[in-house]
Formats: sequence, structure tokens, C-alpha cells
Amino acid sequence: MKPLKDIVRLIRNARIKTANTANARVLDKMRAAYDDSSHGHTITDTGGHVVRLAIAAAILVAAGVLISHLAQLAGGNVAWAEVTKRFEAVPFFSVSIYMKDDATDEPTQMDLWMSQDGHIRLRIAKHVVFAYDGQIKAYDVASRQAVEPDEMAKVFIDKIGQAGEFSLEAIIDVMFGGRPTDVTPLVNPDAVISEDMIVFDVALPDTPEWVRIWALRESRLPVRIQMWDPRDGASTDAVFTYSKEQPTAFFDPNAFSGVLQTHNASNTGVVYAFQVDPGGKNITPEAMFQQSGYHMPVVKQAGMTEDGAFWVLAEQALNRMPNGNPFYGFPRVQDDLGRTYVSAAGSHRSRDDASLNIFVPLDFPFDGNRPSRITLFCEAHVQWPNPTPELVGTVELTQWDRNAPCPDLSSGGDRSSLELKLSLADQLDAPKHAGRLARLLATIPSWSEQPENERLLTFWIRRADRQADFEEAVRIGQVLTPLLLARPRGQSRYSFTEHLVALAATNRLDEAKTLFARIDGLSEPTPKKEERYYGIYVEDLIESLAENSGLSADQIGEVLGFDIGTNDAYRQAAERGKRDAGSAESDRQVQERRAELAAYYQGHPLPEKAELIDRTRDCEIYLGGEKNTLPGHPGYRILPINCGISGVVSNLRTVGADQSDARKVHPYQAAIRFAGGLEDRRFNADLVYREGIKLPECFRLVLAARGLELTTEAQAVQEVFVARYDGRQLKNCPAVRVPWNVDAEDKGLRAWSVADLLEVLSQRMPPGCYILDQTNLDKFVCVGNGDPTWQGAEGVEQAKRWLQEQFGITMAKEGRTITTYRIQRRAQ
Amino acid sequence: MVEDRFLVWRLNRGDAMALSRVYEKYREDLLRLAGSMLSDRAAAEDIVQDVFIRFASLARTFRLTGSLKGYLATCVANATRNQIVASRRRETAGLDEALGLASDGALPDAWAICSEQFTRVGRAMSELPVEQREVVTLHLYGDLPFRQIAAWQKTSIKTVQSRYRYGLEKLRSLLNSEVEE
Repeated sequence: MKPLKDIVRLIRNARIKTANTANARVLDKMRAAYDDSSHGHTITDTGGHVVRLAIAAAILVAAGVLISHLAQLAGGNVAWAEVTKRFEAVPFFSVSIYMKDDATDEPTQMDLWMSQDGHIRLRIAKHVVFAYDGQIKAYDVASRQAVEPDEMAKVFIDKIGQAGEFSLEAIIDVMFGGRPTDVTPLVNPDAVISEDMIVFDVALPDTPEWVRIWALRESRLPVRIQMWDPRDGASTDAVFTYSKEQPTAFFDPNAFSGVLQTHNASNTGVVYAFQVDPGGKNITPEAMFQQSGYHMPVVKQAGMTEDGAFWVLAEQALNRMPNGNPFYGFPRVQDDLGRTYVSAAGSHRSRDDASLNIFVPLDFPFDGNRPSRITLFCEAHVQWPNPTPELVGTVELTQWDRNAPCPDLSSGGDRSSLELKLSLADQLDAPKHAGRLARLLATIPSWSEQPENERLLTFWIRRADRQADFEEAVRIGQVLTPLLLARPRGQSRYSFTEHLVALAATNRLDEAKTLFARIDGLSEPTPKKEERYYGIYVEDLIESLAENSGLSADQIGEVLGFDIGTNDAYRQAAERGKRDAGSAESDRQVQERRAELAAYYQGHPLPEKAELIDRTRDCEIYLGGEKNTLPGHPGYRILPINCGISGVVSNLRTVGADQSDARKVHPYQAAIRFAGGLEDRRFNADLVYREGIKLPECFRLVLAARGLELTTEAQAVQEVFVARYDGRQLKNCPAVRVPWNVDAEDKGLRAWSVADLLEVLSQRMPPGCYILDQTNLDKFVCVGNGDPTWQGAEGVEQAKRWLQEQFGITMAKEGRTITTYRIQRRAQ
Repeated sequence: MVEDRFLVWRLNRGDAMALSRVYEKYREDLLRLAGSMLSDRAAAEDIVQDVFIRFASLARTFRLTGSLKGYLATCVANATRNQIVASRRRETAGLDEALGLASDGALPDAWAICSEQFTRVGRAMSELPVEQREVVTLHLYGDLPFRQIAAWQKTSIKTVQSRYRYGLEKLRSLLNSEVEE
């Protein structure tokens, strides 16, 4: 029986479409109802901060003309006329807009830049939007992709465009949907605190909200506009900056798109790309880098501990890459013995820009060799597009302090050898280091020997968690968690994850719930609850609970105290965890089976060509991305056989090994006859075969291993559907989509051949119906995901129509002698 | 959510174009919701149409306090519940009276075109007790959190969660053959 999530998916995916004509009719009725409701309508609220975006845009961009209008209302004051002229003469201005939903809300900020000739650039959240002459282009800074401008940005730009012609009435028109209004701005002498500035108030019609405008008397330019709602303290503040014209590239979406392609550009570098500060200040880390470049740190001291760890203390240690990411001191070392070093620890003290880098040889602490020369590398690991680090410079050392304890920058004391061992052990996870790791672990004390050592406890609880030894993890957690909670500050929420996961995995859900409530109730751990990283922490926790503890979404909700299904990201995290758990289980089974087969051949001769070995238990083995080699027996490989005899026949057809006429008959299962009392049955076995034997041969060997062979035979005249192709030019495969529901995100997209389509169609037809494929089309013709929804007689007809329209494949019912498969025992 | 607030703001200010967006955005989910709660497709279409028209008539003064979809879904759920009660009454009413109870809204011809999958799901849904059906459809098609459904059904969250689980279990047994590969 399928899990409940499949039922949920089935329900969610059950679609309804609507007829366009009916849609138009319903919409007409809605519009009529809407229009009818306009009589006597009074505006009472301007909505939330999203709303104020548009209002703010309208107001602030309109400011120049607004002031012009104010001038008229103020009796044609000459000074205000000058203000208008000044504003019109400004070649470029930018505005920072801050919006609050209510008095205690954190403000949301956005940026707007506009040039005299009407070019607009806008940053809303992670989107940068360009607009000019009715054309809008939007880019997402996070994904570095061009995106559809979202609804809000479109309307926003539209509002700016509308307000571009300006009068105060025009602004109000934009803000209040075209209703006639009567607005009188008044000079507010009480708000003026200096002769330098003049302040105007605008009362808005039908609402208690008001607008205040500050302008400089001398320069005649508006510097701030504020809109205020006294009902809840919601406000919008716009602060103006004026400067000389920005470079053309600043408003050019194509130039911006080029910056997006520079994948190592910082977010700041992207958002403010091409902006030139009027005072010549750096705006982005890239600009900073252009001035500073890299520099070589200065080695102050270096030493080697008694057990062979090498450390180097450097000054002027901080370097920044063009994207602003820092690196400290010397990230890599090399010695004249050619050994591999692992970075075991590193720290930086910003007070005097000093860094400490500590390295251990791979066989620390057993490696007794001592080098006579060590090279320090200062290099920047700019990941993209070049994975090779950028070398800043090297320093050759032939002298350093011998048997010198490793210093600790933060405490001023020495760093223990145990810390370095723990750090190295954390990095020796690869199977090739298994022996090395075991040797190292034997030198590390158990957690119960040092129950106050938080670092040691953390190391062991992580190991227990990784090895799914959750009972042990619970025992460690019971000691570690009180230590962490007693820490005055600085603990991370992630430190509790292993304990929480272990409690959940051992079915102590109530304890897990209590622990989570306790951690969640604390204000100190990072990330703080109000930080955006808190959501990511919860997602990670949900994923761990699903993957490692095997909890369902409901159980996770029980532990966390809320329904995770209401949050898309949380729901997806749980699904991800489940998927990963399934895949981990599948990988484990593969590894187990490979080891089992390898062990079997320790006591048995390897086969000349191939051997089919039954599994000792009923299971299915899927290699996925795992290797199919036979460990310890080079030259041999494994092919899991999870299907039945008919499945092997299907595989032979799929890999093109069967060239008989029987391959043209669909459905394939109905075209197989088991002779001599044979029956289809599942193999549940693995074929161990010599490297070099091709897949088709492997499948024949599987049959042969059971003493079977595949032949064909003619079936007397049958009524079959003969599929023929009219020879038309077919579109490229990716250009044709399957006609059934497809995932909009193109997940799991696969290519379909005509044989695939006919096979599915034949399986949807009543039993006893055959399709004989005479199209001679043996290529992929379309793409899609999911399974065809052709059901019942209507579905079959739909499918036939689609095949004809799309590919020119027709079906004619004819009486034919067909060739089918026959599975029989081999004569010898 | 942000877009919804903006749409409502536009509607508050006389921008009729925003109606189309609200309609585009939610028509399918509301039809699925009503269609799953009622076995009578025509009545379901009628209800969704009425909810949209009613929303349009209130849109100028509408104040959004939560999710717009949640609001519309609750309206549909209320109307379907009324419809179910009315149908029960109709079962005992005379013909003349029954005609009087029928919706007077002009039903659009073949508005909703159900997929085969939806028809199967709808059929299975009709086998559920009304309370379970309400929870499952409001949660899956209306995106209403259990807390809100509990308030609407005037019961505890635990009960709602149980109804959801029992409902899904029953649907699983009814639809099992459909989801088994």
C-alpha cells in the first residue's frame, strides 16, 4: 500500500480546467458586481506596506511636479517655481524608501534610481528591475537569472510612468484609483526648525493619512517625503539623493546581465553594479578590491609541535577576494617530503590582524618524519569559474621553532594535541582513510573519560549519529546538552541537533519535544528566532528528523509543536529528508550486497563468464550511482536482477538486443508464452560477470543460468492494430511534449520512443488487444514526465488521435499472423 | 500573500483589472474544493461563481486580514455546507418547494472540465463523512491550516488532525488501486 503522501499528491494533482467562454462570463459578472458596488464607496485604508510601495513611488517620483503644483497653490511664489526648475535640472536622483506596516514593525527598504531621460532602475527585495519606454526587465540577484518582473514591480513601474506627467491630481489619481479629489497642501510653519528648510503638509481625502514634504530653501530640492497613517503608525519615508549622471551602463539591463554571468560577483556588486558614488567612495567589495588587490601576509613565527603539527603565525593576515570573501594568512603548506597536510585549525585576531594556521600531516600523530623545508602558500580560493586557487605568493621556510606547542590566539594559551586529532578525525571520513581513522580514534579518549569536555562530547555524539548508533548518541546528549545550556552565551542551535535526532530516532518523542521546546524558548542561541537563518535552521532540523530519525511529517510536527505542512519550505525539507533516507537505505543495501558477493568469492572460484547468485533475503537492489564492481575481485562486475523472466525479455528489447519481429508486438508481456509448464517468476538474484561482456549478453546469460532460452514463434491469424507512420517530417524530440499532465518544473523529464508510447497504449487497451508496430521509427519522439493518463476507451481514443496528429501514426485493425516470444527450457 | 495584499489594495482603489488576477489565481482551487465537497458538479460551479461575484461586490471595501485564498476557500466551504443542508431538506420537501430552493444564479455552461483523475478523487471523496471531507479538501485545496479549519468546524485541532488522517486513510483504501504502480 502506498504511503499517505502519495494519496496527498494524487489529490493535489487531480486537476480541473475551465472553459474560456465560461471564464469570460463569470468575469463579466464579477466586473458588473464590482462596478455596482462603487456607489457611495469610501476609502478607509491604504493597506499594508506593499501598498505603500506604489504610493511612495507615485509620490516621490512626482515630487518635482508636486512641488510645482504646490507653488501654484501657494499663490505662484517665485521661489517654488525655481524649485520646480531645479528639480527638472537634476540629471539623476536616487531614493531610499523605508516602509513600516505599523508602529512597531521593522522597516522594509527598497532603492529606486531614475535619470532625467526616464530610465528607471529599481531594487525590490532580491529583484533588480530595469524600465525604460514601457519595457521592463527583471533579474533575480539570488539565482542570477532573468525573471519575470513580479506583479508588484510591474504595477510599481506603471505607477511611476503614470505619475510622470504630473500634477498633484495625477498623483492622487494614481493613488486613489481615479476618484476625483480635492487636495490642498499647506505650508507647515511649526515643522520648520531652520530657515534652510521649508515643510509642507498634504491632507489626503477620505482618510486620516497625511503626507509631509521637506525641501531645502536654498537649493530648492525636496529631500524627504513622509506618509503617515495615525491609525496604526504605518509609514513610508522616502529620502532623496542627487548626483551627476550615472554611466549609461547603470541603466542598461544587458550590461547588468553581463555582470550576472560573473558568477563570483558579490550580491552587493550585482545590486549596485555600475553605480558611481559622487564622492568617489567604494560602493561594492569589487570596487574595494580594485583599489587594494591582494597582499602577502608577514610571517611572524612558525613552529612544529612534538607530534608533528606545523603552525604559522602571520601579521597583516587578512586578504579579501573581489567578492568580499575574506581569507587569512597561509591556507596551504607543502614540505620537502611530499606529504599531504590537512588544515586542522585556523584563527584570526582582528585587533592586530594576526592569523594562526595549523596543519597536520595525514598520518598525525604517528608520522615521525620531520621536513627540512616548508613552503607556505597564500592563495585565494575563488571557486567560480576557475576551481584552481589564485596564488598570491609563497614563503619558503627552513627554520622554525622545534617542539614548540601550538599557540591559541583566542585564549593566549596552547592548543592541545587532542583538538588537532579531533579536527583531523572529522576530515577522514572517506573509505580510503578507514584504517588511518581507526588508528587515530584509538588515541582519542572516550566521552565518558572527560565528561566536561564539550568539544570531545560533540565529536563523539556526531560520530554516533553518523553511525546511526542513536542509543549512544542519547547517552552522550544527556551529558552534553546540560553543558551547552549552562554556557552563558555563544551556543548554536545546531549543537543540539544530534541529541534531538537521537531522541526522535529512539522513539522518545516526548523527550525530543521537551528538548526542542526548551531550546526554542531560549533567546541566546544563534540563529536568533527573529533572524532569517532561523527558518533555515528549522528546515535543516526537519530534514534531519525525517532522514535520520525516520519521522513522518506529523511526528515532526508533534516534536516541533506546529504543523509543518502549512509551510512549503518545511514540507519540502521533510520530503527531502525522506527521499535521502530512502536513497541512503538503498545505498546501504548495495554496499552490503557487494560485500556479501565479494565474501562469497573468497571461498568459491570466480565464473568463467558469469554466474547468477541468488540473494539470501527477499529484497531489491538498485545501483543508483553506486559502483557495480566486485570488491577485491578486479575484472568482475555485478548486475542486479530484480525483475521476472518477462522483465528480462523487456530489458532485451530495451537495450536493442532483440531484433526479432516479436519486438514489434505490444504489449510485450502478452506476447510471451511460457512453454512446457514454465511460469514467469521473479529472479531476486545478481549476475556476477566478467568485465567486457555487454549488457544484452548479460540478460541472455541470466536466462541461461536458469536453463532457459528465448525463441520466437508464429501465432495464427489475429486481429491486431497495425501502427503505421505516414512519413511526415517529425519535430525534434525535445520540442514535443507528452499530452498528459506534466510537472511545470520539468522534474523527471524523460524521452519517449514510439515503442514506449505504443507499449503504454497497448497496456491501456482491453486484454487480448495487440499493437503491431510497423512504423519503423526507432528514435525518441517526445519528452515528458509522469505516466500517460490514457484510461478506458476514451483515453485510448485520445491517445490514437494524438499519435496521428503529432507523428502521423495511424492504427488500422487487421487480421495478421504475428511473431511472439516463447520461453522454453534449453535443450542442453 | 504579498501579491494578494496588493491585489486587494488595487481593488480597494477601483482597479477592476485586479479582479481578473484574483479569479485566475484561485478559480481552479476553489472549483476543486467545491467539486470535492459536493457530488453535484453544477451546484459546485454555482457556488464558486457566487463566491467570486460576492467577493467582487465587496472588493472595494474588503479588508484582508489573513490569506485571500483562505478567505475565499472558507466562503466556498460555508456555501457548500449550506448546500448540503439544503439538499438534505430537499430530500424531504415536495417538488415545488425543491425548485424554489435551487440556485437562481445563471450557471455557465461546462465551466469546469474535470480530469479523469479528479473525477476519481471526487468519487472517492464522496465516500467520506462530511467532516472528514471538509478537512481534507480545505487543507489540500484551500491551503487552510488545521488551526483555521478547527476554528471553522468549531472543534479542536486534534480532532481536525484526526479527521484529516482518517480521511486520508480511507481515501488511500479507496484510491489504492489508482496509485499503485
